Amino acid sequence: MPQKIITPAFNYDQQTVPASPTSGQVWRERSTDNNVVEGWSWNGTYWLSNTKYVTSDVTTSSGLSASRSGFPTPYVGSQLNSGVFILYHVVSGAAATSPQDINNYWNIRFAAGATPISSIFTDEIPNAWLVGSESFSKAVNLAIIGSSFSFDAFWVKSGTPGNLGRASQSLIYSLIR
Amino acid sequence: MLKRSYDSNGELSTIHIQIGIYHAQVPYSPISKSVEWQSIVYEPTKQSIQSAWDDWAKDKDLSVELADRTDLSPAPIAPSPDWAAFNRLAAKNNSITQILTATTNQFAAIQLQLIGSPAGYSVNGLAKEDYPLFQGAWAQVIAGLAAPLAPDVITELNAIATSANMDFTFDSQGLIVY
Repeated sequence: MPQKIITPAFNYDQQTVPASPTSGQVWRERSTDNNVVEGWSWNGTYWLSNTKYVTSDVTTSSGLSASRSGFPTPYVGSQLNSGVFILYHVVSGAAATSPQDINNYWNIRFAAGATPISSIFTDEIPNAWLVGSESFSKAVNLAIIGSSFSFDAFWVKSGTPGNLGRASQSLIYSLIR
Repeated sequence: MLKRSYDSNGELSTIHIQIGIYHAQVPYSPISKSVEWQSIVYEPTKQSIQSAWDDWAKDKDLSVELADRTDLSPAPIAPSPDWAAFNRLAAKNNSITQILTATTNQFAAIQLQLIGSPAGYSVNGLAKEDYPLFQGAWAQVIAGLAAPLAPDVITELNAIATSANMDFTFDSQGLIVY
């Protein structure tokens, strides 16, 4: 009876960084005591960790911006270029008061950066008006090198939209090695 | 394609170069104002970004491409009008006292003070929608004078407005413009 061959879901299973990766390869990083530290995939330029999330909330009724400053990476490569690779920026908001319509809406601007370096404008969601609770997301695909980061979503009025009842934002990112 | 970010002084702070669907960070140093490839230790990462950079940089003048953009530096934010200071300076100014006394339109003179005085005790000063009322009352005060304002009086009025960071000036006839 032929033996079934199980292909591992990773190409490397070791402590050290693979020397010559090719796009799409996966590395299971182990610590010196052989515990699994992190899973990484090579995108052709960086080793990117498994996807992670960080969220920031604004709860004031008149909050027009949501920001999260100085969130540190929980793990930073010791000998390599390191930082975060931002995959998606997501914001959500709920209308507290009217109007929220085609003439009275928000432009949501995203920025991110390695602190304390000034923020990098990443993208914008124009013409966002809220019918109840809404969520918007933007693919970013941007590498930011450093060991501490901040990200912001600015809600900029166009016309005279009603207040935001709640606003929050999330960053979906990978660590970089 | 390159994505450049500038600090609040318009100085180039970070550079990202497009590789496929993503942007990788070029090791540009705003201190040395040069690309410091040696700062990327991991050879595969360095080769990937440097290759994309070399393709992009072909036939380009880097002194132009990487120049600071002081024209992007935001204009300084104008200070808010200080209505309390404006009212104090106006109350102490002899020319303004003479104007308010001499005008035949005393109703306008009183109305002007009724509009302007409370603004001195409000954190936000005079509401924008009340500016036309203030402007109109002052115009009626001026219209009630026997003679046009002398240029040196108008210079005095503008000096007071400037000193209190007001967001209006007085034109050649002494009328408020904003």
